[in-house]
Amino acid sequence: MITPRRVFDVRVGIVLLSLFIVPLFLRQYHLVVLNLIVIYVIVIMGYNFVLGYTGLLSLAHAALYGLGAYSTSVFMAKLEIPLYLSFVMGGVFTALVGLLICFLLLKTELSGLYLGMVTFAFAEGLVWIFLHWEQMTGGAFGFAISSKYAFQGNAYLKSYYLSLCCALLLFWFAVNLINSKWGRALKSIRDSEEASMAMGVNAPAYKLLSFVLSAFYAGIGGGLYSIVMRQIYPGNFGMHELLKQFSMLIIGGQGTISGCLIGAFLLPLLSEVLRSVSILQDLFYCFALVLFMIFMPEGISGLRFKMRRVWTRRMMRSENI
Amino acid sequence: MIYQQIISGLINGSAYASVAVGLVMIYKATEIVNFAQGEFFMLGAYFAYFFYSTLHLSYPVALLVSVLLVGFSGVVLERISIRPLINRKAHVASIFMITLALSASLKSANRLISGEFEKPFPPAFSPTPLNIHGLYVNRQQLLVLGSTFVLMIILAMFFKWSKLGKAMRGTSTNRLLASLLGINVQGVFSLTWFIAAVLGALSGVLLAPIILIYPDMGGIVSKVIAAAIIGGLNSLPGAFLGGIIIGLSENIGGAYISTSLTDVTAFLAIILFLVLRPSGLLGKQVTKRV
Repeated sequence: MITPRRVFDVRVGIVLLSLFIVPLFLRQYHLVVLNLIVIYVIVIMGYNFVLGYTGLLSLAHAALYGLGAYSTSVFMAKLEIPLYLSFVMGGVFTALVGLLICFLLLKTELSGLYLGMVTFAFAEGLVWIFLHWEQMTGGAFGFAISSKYAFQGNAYLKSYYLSLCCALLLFWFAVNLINSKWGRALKSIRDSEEASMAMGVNAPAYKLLSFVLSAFYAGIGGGLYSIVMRQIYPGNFGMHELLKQFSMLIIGGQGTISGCLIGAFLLPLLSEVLRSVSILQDLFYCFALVLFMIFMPEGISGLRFKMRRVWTRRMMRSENI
Repeated sequence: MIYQQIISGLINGSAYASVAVGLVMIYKATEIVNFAQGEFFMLGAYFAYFFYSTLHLSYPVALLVSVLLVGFSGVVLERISIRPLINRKAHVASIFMITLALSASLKSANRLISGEFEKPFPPAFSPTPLNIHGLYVNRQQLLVLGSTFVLMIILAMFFKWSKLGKAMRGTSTNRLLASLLGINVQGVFSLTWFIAAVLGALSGVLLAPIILIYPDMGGIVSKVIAAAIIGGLNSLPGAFLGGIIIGLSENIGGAYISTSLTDVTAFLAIILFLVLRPSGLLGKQVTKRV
């Protein structure tokens, strides 16, 4: 018997299978793009926790992503920790730094714009450290991981499977968290912090949770990025990167998991199309972001709800006649 | 030596101060921290370069035309991108990010039009420095310092005594009440952005002959935000004071401790002040009503 539930399962199975099989037939260049897409899915899901669900304006996400990348590289190339362990450690380290920052923020009960400006200052401070702590990070010349620590053989395919497994695991976790009591608490804080406190939600604790979780996602994403690219620069993690991640979230649709997937899939793809005119890339991101924020604040995944609303209205009208 | 550092700190600081006053004006009127404020500074310098160096207009004419142009572009930016979000009662985060996106798009558009590289702005006055009791000061530097102070006094008088200034103060105190009293609130928003853009552009044009002009010169905005926060984000005299403090501490810290410190002074100041004293030196504590 074919129930809706089973149809859903079959579809999920097909998508999963193709995610694992299709890359076997792709060229190296396409594999790099695919790697980036999967990494961005992780990073944007993390950003979505803090910005989309809890409504905290964090501008430190790109820098935390960079912290994950740098700490993973240091664990791997300087401390010679095996690859599989080092990127998890990078994620945990980033989460710990996120915890520290968040403790400082909660102490002052910062909210809205003030939070944005403090996280902005933290982000710029982190990038400054990447740039100036030269014996650790390599400074402006970047940090290169020598090939003996990285994947051997078809490196891009192996790193793709690693990233994909992480992304699936983190995706499963995010979906379950959002549909749990904790997820509802986060959303209630976004909609009205005072009302949710009055309902007995421990808002500071949940804010801490979402910030630390997002830092963990960013750290894991950054670690995977450094594994794929094997060469990272401080400039990769500045304001520019933040704007890119923010546009992915907004264009996909903040506050939904499907929005993260859409945004993280579309934008790297489009920027690869525009690669030959790299100067247009920035302009494209920013213009798309401005247009979406003015005309379509719910993003692409919000279209679905809008369509459904229009559809039901039309149905009701036709029934009346 | 220390006096020389203080002088150059004052000059940088007065430029930060006038941009910061624009930022605080916008914050007071609409509760938006305008990240694109540094871009007005950049646009002013580039327009002036175009009029002065390419079209060979005289410096005062180039200054006037470019400042007015930037002022109007500020009004247009607010009208087409910020106003729809305010009317929709969008989240503060979205409005903050849209100003960030505007700043980045102006920056990259400028890079597309006038190239990535730094350009020297031809000096408007004779570049030989004046010697005042052993201190070396350019005429241009004196102009920056003098015009900023004069401008701040004019602005203070405008807010204190003119009818428009009173209307602007009223709007920032209570938007609804102001509109009930017949103040054109939307018009006040436009005027605020005009003045803020003019302030940013003016310090850009004045500072351009001293520094090189380059597409990323709008990065000054982090220092400007730091200045506004030191002063307390809702206080205009505070923003001025904050700008001077940032300029001085940057120059003195850079000269006596480490040059790389000039870049982080602003960020350290933002973190320290927002964590320890969010209302700044001169700002009013705002109580949140639920």
